[in-house]
Amino acid sequence: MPELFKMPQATPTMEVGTIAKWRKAEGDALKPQDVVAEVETDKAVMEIEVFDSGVLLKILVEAGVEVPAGQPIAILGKSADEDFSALLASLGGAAPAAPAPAKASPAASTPSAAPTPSPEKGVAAPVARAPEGGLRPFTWAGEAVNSAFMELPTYELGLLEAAAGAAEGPGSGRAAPAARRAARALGIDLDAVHGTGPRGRVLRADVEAAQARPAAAPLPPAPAAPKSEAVKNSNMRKTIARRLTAASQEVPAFYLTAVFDCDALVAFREQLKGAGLAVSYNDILIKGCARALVAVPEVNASWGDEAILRHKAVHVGVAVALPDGLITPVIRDADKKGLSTIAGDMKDLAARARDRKLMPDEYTGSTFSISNLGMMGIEQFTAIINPPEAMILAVGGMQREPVVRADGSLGVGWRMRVTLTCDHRVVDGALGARFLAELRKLIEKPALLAA
Amino acid sequence: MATLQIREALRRAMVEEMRRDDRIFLMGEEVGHYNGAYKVSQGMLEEFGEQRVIDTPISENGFAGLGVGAAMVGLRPIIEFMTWNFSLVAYDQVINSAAKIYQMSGGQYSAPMVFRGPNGTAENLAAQHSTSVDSLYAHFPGLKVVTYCDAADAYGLLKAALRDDGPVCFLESELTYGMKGEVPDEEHIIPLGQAKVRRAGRDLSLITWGKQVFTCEAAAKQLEADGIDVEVVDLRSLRPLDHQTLFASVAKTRRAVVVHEGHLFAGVGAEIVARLQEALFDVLEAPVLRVTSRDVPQPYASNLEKLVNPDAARVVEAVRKSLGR
Repeated sequence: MPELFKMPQATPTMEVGTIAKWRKAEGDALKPQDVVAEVETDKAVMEIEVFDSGVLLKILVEAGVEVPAGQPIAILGKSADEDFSALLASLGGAAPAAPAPAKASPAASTPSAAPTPSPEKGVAAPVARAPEGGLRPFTWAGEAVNSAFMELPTYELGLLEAAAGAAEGPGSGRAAPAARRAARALGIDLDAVHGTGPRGRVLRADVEAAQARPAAAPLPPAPAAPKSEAVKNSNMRKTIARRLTAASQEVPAFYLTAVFDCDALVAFREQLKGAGLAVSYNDILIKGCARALVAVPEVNASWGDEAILRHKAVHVGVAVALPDGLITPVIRDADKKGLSTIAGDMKDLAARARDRKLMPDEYTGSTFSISNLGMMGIEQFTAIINPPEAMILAVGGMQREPVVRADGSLGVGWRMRVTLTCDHRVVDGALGARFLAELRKLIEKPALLAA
Repeated sequence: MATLQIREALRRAMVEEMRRDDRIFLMGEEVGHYNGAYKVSQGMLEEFGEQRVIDTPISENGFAGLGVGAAMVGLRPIIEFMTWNFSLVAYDQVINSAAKIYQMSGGQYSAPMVFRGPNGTAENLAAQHSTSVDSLYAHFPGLKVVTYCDAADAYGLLKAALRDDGPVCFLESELTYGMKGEVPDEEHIIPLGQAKVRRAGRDLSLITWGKQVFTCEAAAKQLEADGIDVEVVDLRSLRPLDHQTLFASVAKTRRAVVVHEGHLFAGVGAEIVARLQEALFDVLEAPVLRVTSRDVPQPYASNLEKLVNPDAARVVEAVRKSLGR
């Protein structure tokens, strides 16, 4: 039987390989460990061997051509006269590259008949078998082989439903131990509690909720199945899903959290307000980040496979929530703008963003982003990087907290938590920390923003 | 139906398989001229000759490795460890060679072979000769780990192990080699990976294997007198594990105690308990408990040994704890 010889994955990271050189020609006899070709991978030039005796029937990929690992590069057979036309036809248009010219006389190098393994002496078929459902046989080329097996975690066995019984909903008897204890302590009939856990399991919170409900109030009927409404995805929803999924899968992100002392910031903003200037904390943060990006230019950058792009301009994107998604309008050249200009730009951009009136160049091209959920009562969170940016700052709310001052005394101070998400391909930990230190300096001593 | 000692049942399995498959040979210390340290291989040298019943020097690492090599090129060795304690010096051969060669060679080689010998506690053999190796071998993918309690299972399971295409660790017991039981006259093979419910019950499942099956059966009898009806499940095969029988039993009784000879910490029982709570969280009425050897090297003195090994009294206590009565 002629068979396909595929581009091997010669290194763990190899995705494509280039045939550097064919060391065997069509019609050449092969024995185990013969090097048939040299393949250039991402790391080195490797020799590619065959494992069995036979003949190189057909070369499918010429030297110099790059193909993905797993793609057929040749057809091997046991003898030179094997008909491989059907196999070749099955490749159809998928045959990746022009084959090398056929040799004039393959018969000249026809090897002696390939050795066939001597039949094993009389042995019955093995009787070992795996119990259904419990095991997954090792497979080789899609076929279960040997009698090896993998033990799986129980939740992958497909036996749990059968083992645990079918009934769901109140009265099914499904209740977490913590819920049983709570029900006992509160004198609540578990059978009457609607379970919100998996498969209707009554959780402790369900018991507590049942207790909080007035005794006379009838229990809501348990739905037979959870009712759902399909909300069609808008283009914005799809874009968010696609970009952020890609970002969270592709970007090796790490997170740096810092607590800023905001006492001076609060006083600074009061002064601006007193002078009739409507500047938000967010506007000050935009300015601070822009200045910090100028001070640490290595982080105002984007990852590229060949080179990291350091951006000459500082464009700060600010996430704005919309009813069905979010958009990130951009304050261009934020480092060069005064606070009042930033405040005016931001107000205008945010208003038009909510009206869906932004032009594409007003929400693209940012080199850094800020996501601020402080006004939503969030103390601290992490944000997903907005590619191709290298960092995003997640800003929590400012709040008054008990603090230990520099002189060791206790007091009450304004504090804010920020978390910087960094693309580790571009920004290392110490570099991200340098950016945060720079930002801290500007936020804790906001007078410097005027410098 | 013949009544055989377990050693005779094991021998019958080996002899029958060696007659039908000339790739099988037996190798180990004292297996030939001395007829086996525990007389399991009595008479086998006479029938099969020195080519197929091979006495080795005291060199487990060497002859276990020879066995793996022989299996890789097409033979089907039985490697007898005089006890599994001595397999520890051959651990590398069993784990790194036998268990892994199939995958590491991309399926070009396999190691169809049986490692067998007595496992666990006997009497007054002290710490170095009383090890239960169950968890040491059950941990690794590529191996099967099989054990039995009575003569019929010893025969049927060893037959299956000898026909398996991968390496099998077959755990026997020195204390029960002389135990008699009925073995069917006709050939029979018990597929690996099938547990057996030895005693049906409704209140709690005792999950066990090897000679601890008898400890559990004794405990079940004592509990019966108090109206407590426990089920005894003999896993027989630790790998592959028969989840269906295991889960079905505990789904029925809603309570379980795992009883085994090996140590508590990171023992096979821990794996069973983990699987039961994963699968049957909503079914269990109580935490799944374990009764195992105490967490000390096996003492030599008989009185201390009794305290260390699982016994019916400790099983009864655990069952009562689970049931709250």
